Amino acid sequence: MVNSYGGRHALHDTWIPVERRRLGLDRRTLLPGLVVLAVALLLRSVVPLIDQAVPGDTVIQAGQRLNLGDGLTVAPPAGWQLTDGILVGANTVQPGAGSPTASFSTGGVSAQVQVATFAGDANALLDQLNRNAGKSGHRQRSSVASERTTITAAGGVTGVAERFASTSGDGVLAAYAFPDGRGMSIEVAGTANQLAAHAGEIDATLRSVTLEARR
Amino acid sequence: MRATALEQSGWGTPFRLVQPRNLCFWVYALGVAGGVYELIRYFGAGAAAYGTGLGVGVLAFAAYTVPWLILLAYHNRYTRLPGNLLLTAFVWGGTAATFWIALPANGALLSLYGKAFGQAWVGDWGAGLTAPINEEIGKGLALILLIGLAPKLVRSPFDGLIIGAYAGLGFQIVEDVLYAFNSTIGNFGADQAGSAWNIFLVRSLTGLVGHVLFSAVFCSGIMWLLGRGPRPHRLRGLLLMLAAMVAHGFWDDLGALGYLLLGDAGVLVMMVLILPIADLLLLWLAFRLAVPQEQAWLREILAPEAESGLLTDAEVTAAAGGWRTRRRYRHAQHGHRERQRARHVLAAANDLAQEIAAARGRDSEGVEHARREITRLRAQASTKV
Repeated sequence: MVNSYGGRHALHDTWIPVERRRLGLDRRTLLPGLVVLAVALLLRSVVPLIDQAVPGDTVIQAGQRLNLGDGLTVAPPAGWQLTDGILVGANTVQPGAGSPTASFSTGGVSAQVQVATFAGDANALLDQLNRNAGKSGHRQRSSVASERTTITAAGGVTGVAERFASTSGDGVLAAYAFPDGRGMSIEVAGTANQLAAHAGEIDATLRSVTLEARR
Repeated sequence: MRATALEQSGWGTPFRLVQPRNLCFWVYALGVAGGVYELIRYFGAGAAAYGTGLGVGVLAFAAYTVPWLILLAYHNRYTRLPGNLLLTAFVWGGTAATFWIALPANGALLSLYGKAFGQAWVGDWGAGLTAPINEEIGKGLALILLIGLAPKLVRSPFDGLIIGAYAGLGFQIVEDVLYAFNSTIGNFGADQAGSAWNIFLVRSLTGLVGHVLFSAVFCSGIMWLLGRGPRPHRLRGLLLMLAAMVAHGFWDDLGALGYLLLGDAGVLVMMVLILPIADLLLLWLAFRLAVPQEQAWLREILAPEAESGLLTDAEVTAAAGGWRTRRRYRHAQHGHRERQRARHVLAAANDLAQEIAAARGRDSEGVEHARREITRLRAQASTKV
């Protein structure tokens, strides 16, 4: 747009003389433009590529447990890689601090743990999780999902679990509710074969949930 | 003097975002398009299941934006930056800096830290050594693009401060909505409105010393570092940028730092006392360093009006001064009516400066009208007395 002020035309200010162009662009704008592009690509693309290339997630040892906060712990399978979560006895600034989320995985099977306050029992939580999954559309349940089963874990903790099958993969979804008003979900996902190969470990993890009274 | 001040400040130069021959425009378009695409993908995947939490978050934080815009508009004074330029910074902060840069970069850096130092270390220190790097740089890129898009307009550390604040506000609002959404998911989608509302209460309070402040300081530092201040002060620029990143990092590592400092009570003491005071002092310092150049330009632009007798020297000084200078001038007047007249004349003097800048120093119809307004306000006062 040409807008006139004081007898001059704004167009003259934005007209780029031919000798100042490179590939049709104003040469003076190349440096800031390229700097921004380079920095953005470094942060958003190069750093993730480095992360993918670097091995070394913590490998879970036999007997190690995840601290999910306030006395709640679970034992992930030995040999799996810990990608999120704090192990019991880890060297945190605040001694004994836990984390309400955790994730661990091994060859194509991944598990996500989430703890939060929940007003209801384990069945209500599993219903809620199923509603979320159904609405999200990322996991359309098929008719082969198993019957709901009860998990009896150590120390009297009980939960409920269902197997699910979807177009994007299969898995196990477990829900627990604790007397202190918290609920916990554990979702393990992978292909049917991978899940079958690790079925014993997954089952042991689901039964390893304990809640100790805080001293 | 007036012509020099107008030339140096660039005040009155119109801003145009769409410049096909400017590489910065294309990089801006790429970043914003990439950010919007990722944003839609992120929220779109869970919108049906967690729509109530998302909706409450969007509505609450949209309302929260309004007082921020009023506050920032008040500080966008002296040689005022155009609204469309500030909107450009806000949109970059809310889309490209968040979803195009910070989200993938933060995840990758946290993962790398986890591999190097373990998850417990990441829990204590990861956020504070990730977000200040990726997010401050991501928001600061808005300023670099705007320098490339409007080199005549973006001239002073004060311009950097204002542009940084708007980019920071865009980032903060979108990040707040993201927190509300994530909290809703984390709470199993049960009581979604409650989850989002709790986030609103916490984030709206802590946000008073958040992204807006950090970016304002960081971007004023970029301007000093690039030598766009009245004198070269590259070290000052670097220190301001580092200080903004450290301030940001302290907030993100609040839990571990607070516990190290004062045990269980430390987090609260840091959150409500130490960090807000330290951050506001940092902002005050960045502001004090940046504002004199802007005030000098405004004084020089208005000075010929004092020579012609339209304004007094005291009025020019007050109109180009900070709120304390203006208050001192008003309080020096005798009686309520005179103080009110002084307030009106100062506001009219700022209107006149704006018209002079829009006309690039020439006597346009707008300039003449603004001058007549000052004369009218004086006459009105004297007839009423």
